[in-house]
Amino acid sequence: MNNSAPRSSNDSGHDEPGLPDLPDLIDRLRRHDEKAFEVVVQRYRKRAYTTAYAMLGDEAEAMDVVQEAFIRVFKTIGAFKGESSFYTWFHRIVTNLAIDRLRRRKTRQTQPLTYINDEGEDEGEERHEADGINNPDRVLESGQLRVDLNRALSELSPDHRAVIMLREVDGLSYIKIAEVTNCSIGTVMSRLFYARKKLQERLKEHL
Amino acid sequence: MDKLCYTLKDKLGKDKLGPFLDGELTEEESSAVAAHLETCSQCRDALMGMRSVGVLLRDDAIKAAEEANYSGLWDRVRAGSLAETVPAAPVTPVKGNDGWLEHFLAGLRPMLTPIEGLAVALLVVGVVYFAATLRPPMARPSVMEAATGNEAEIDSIETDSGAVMVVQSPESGATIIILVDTDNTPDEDPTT
Repeated sequence: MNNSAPRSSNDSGHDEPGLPDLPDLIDRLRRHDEKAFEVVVQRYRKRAYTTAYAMLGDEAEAMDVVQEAFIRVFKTIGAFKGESSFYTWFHRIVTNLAIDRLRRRKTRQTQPLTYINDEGEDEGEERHEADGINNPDRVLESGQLRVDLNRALSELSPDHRAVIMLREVDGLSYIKIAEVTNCSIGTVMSRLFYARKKLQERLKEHL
Repeated sequence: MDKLCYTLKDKLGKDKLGPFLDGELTEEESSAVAAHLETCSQCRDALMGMRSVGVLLRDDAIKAAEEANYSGLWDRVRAGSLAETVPAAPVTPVKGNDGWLEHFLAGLRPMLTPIEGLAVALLVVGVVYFAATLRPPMARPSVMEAATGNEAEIDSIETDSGAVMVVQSPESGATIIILVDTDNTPDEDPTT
C-alpha cells in the first residue's frame, strides 16, 4: 500500500508509444549506433536531469552529471546485462555520479557545515553558504521558496539528501534506495526520518 | 494521548508515519496507523507536513527539469562519447623479462598512434642519414690478392734468412708488407 503519490520513476523500462522499441535501441547501442544513442539521450534526458537536479540543486552541475551519465552509458553499455531494466541501470549511473559530486562538494567546502548525522544531531557549526542561494539572478527568477528549499537541503549531509530525493522525487522503494546508496534499509529509514524532520523545520513557512 | 501517537516516537524503528506514507508497512501495520490517524490530529498534521515536503521537492525538481536548456547536450554527449571510444591499438602482451627488441617490435604494430608513427619515422631517417655519412671501411687485401702478383712493389729488403717486401694493392690502395722466409734450417734446439 502506498499512501503517497511520488512521481513514478517508470523504471520498468517500458517504451512510450510511437517511439523505437527499447530492446532494439539497446541492441543498436551495443553496436555504437549513433542514431540510437541520440534517441536514448532525447528520451531520458529530462528524467535524468530531474534526478540530478534534485540531488545537487544546481542547474549547471545537474547538466554536467546528465552529460557524463550518457557518455558512461555509451562506454559501458556492454556491461548492461539486462538483469534490471535499462532505466534502473541508467538511473543508478546518474545517482552515483550525483552522489559523488555531493561528496566532493562536501570535501571542497571550506566553511563549517551544519549536517545532521544518522542520529539527527547537528554536526559542526552553522553553514553560511547554501547551494545556489548566492546567485542574485537565481533568487529573482526562482522566488523565495526555491531559495529556502535549497538552503534547507544544503544543511543535509550528502547521504541524507540523496536518500530523501531518491524517495520523494524518484519514488524508489526503501530496498532500492539501500542498494543505490549502499547502506541498510534501517539506515535508509533513519536518514529519511531525520531529513524529513529537518526539512519540515526549515520549510514550515511554506508548508 | 493515544499510546500509539507516532509524533512522540523519535528513534529508529518507532517511526511509522514515514513508512506509512511511503507504503513500506505491512497491511496490518498500515491499518493500525490509519486507525490512529482517525483520532490523532497531531499525527495527521505530522503526516501532512511530510507529504508537503515531498510535494515541494518533487515540484521543484520537475519544474527545474522543464525549464532546463537541453540544447547542445547531444552534441556534447556525442563529442564526449566519440572521444572516449577511439579504437585502441591492439595490445600485444609483452612478457616482463622481454628485452628492448620485443618492445620495439611490439611498437611496430600496424595500428601505430601518430606519435609512435612519427617516432619510428624519425628513427628510420636518422639511421639512414647516419649510415650515409659513414665512409665504407677500407677493404682488407686478401692473402690470395697478395699472391696474385698484380700488386705494385714499393720497396723490398733481402736478408740471409728471407726478405721483406712492401707492395701496394692496385685495387684497394692498401699497403701490404710481406715477409718471406728463405731459411729452411730448423730452429736451434733450445736445449743446446
